[in-house]
Amino acid sequence: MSMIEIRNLVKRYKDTVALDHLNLDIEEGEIFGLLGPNGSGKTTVINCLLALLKFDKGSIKIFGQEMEPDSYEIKRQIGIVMQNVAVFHELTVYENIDYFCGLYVPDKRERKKLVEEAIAFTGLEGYEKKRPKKLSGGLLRRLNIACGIAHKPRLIILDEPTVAVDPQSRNKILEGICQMNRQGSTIIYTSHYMEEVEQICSRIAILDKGRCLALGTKEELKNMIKTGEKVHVEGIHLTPEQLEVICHMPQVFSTVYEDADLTLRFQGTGSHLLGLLHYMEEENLTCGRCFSELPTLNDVFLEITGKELRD
Amino acid sequence: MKVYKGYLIALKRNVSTVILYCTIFFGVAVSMVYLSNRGENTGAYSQERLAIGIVDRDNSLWSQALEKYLEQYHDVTVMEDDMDELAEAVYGRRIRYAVIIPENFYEECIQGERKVESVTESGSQWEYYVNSRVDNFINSARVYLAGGYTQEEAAENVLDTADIQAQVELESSREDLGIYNVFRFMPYLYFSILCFVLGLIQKEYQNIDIRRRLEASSMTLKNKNIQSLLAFLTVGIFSWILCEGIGIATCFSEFWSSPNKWLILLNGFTIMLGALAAAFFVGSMARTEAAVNGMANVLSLGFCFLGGIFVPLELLTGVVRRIGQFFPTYWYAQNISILSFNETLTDSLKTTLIQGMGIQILFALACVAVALTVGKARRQEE
Repeated sequence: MSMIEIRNLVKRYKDTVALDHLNLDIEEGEIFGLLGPNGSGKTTVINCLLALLKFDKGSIKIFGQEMEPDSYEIKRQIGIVMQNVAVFHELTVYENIDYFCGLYVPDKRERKKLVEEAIAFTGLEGYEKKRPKKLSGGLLRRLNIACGIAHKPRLIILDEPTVAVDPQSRNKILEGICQMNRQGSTIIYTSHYMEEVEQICSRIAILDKGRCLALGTKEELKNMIKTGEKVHVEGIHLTPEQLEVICHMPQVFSTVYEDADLTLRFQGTGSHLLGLLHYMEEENLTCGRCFSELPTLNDVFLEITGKELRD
Repeated sequence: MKVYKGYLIALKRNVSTVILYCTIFFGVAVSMVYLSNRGENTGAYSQERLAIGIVDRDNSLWSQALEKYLEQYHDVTVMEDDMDELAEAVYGRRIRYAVIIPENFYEECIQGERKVESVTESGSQWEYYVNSRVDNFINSARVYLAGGYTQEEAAENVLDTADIQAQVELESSREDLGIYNVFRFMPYLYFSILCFVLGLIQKEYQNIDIRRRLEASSMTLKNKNIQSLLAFLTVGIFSWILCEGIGIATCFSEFWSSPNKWLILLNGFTIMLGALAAAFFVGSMARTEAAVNGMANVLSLGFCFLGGIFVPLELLTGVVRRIGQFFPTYWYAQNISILSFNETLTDSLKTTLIQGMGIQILFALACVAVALTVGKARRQEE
């Protein structure tokens, strides 16, 4: 049985359909990524999961039980890290973590230990007595995470936790998420940064307009699409005949040649760069720079929806 | 009790604001009591003669008696029966008040219930002053006529009574009563402290992300609400002890010798509830710190100016008084006035006091209900 079962979930905001018959199964122990552009329904799914929003149709089961606004026993095992930093500006770092941990753990001694662990985990040592106003953006995000995970939940939901965070803090946050997963927590991670999702998630669902367009591991998703390797050659001067030959190379399905820059898209798996370089050697062609790219989740999204992930 | 403690920790961070307000208030209160105790204002009242005009449409025994009666108190000028001219004279301040004695004055005004017409500045103090003189004349005439006197005898007796003057010497005036001067301004302290401090704390709890984090937690909604309510009451009682304590310290002996001291404290408690509700309203409505400051200023100053805290109730004009009745400060001011100047409370005064306190509590409940309703509508929008 899955840890989370979402069946035919429909949520409407007046005339806008935010979730359109969404079905998802999330297994215990995985890092599950919800990937989609802004407005695709990621946060709405999270809010429905936590029973913060009433949905129009469908059902949500967490830990095998129906999720309701008063399912406090289920909520006890969930940690939430909001998209925006949700902390009290009047309280210090320590007091904030202690406050939110105290909503789940009434025992003071146990809570003290958990708060200290959360501070150590998020690297907030030395900032315990500082007020949030005095923290940088990255530290604030870490505090936001510490407030959500201090009670050591079985399921952690992170809603775009790295928005507006510097690369150093982002790496620290992503490392922390993987560590929490290794310690046994199941993670739901929403983002519109495909690199992050690709880096940490074991399974990914691509959402757009409230619908799940594709679901699987990153390899499975990439195999779903036609685009394989992409080869770019810069500063190459081709005659029309040479270009014609290149266009008809095996598995090439798209060729773009503009201002001495050539971009080739190949179907299927495997590398095709060597074949192209061999042809260039035969024809005595020189170039400035030459490189190949494997397909990304953005390519997957582009091919499925016809638009860029960040449109 | 995490939610409850959260409020108190946040309050501790803002205690400097509370101390600042209290220190300023205490300083001002002490200086007011010191000035009033110098006894420069001990009441001495003199009768003022106003320039008034009379239009006599009746020209009878009683109309002439009224004219003579008023001449004993005011500088009377007989005017033409021209409403435009009368209005112009009042507007130009040549006269303060014009009395128009109607035809059949005896039948309609003394025997009947018709009012004597007048032209004056509506709501002004001379309107009340001259009206009361005319009413006195009519009431005295009715008393003598009911006593069996003929009309001539009655008119003569009414004019004679006008010669009797009582010497009034007040032991104290409003200006030299410490209790009145200090406790009258207490609502400003309550509204300022609670709206600024609790408003700021409550605003954070209305932040959508914090609210969602709280709703997503395993603490029941009922538990959270009870803890919030307890925190509000704790802060309210703390501020009540602090503010009333300042009041008592400022005029210590006068307060303890007052027979109404417990009612003064109770009246302070009811206005504190009103201020607490206003703070909840401010915290629920405002989205930014600047908005909290703005709303707290508007509420505290507005309520105090319109409710007769900064300006004594009797100096407020009719319209302002009517508007002021919607605010708890008006009823607080009325109650504190009763409690300061009446050593013995009659049943009627007790009723007025209870009514005043009840209205203050009703205001608090209405304020909370509006804040909850608007908050709910706003949450549904989000």
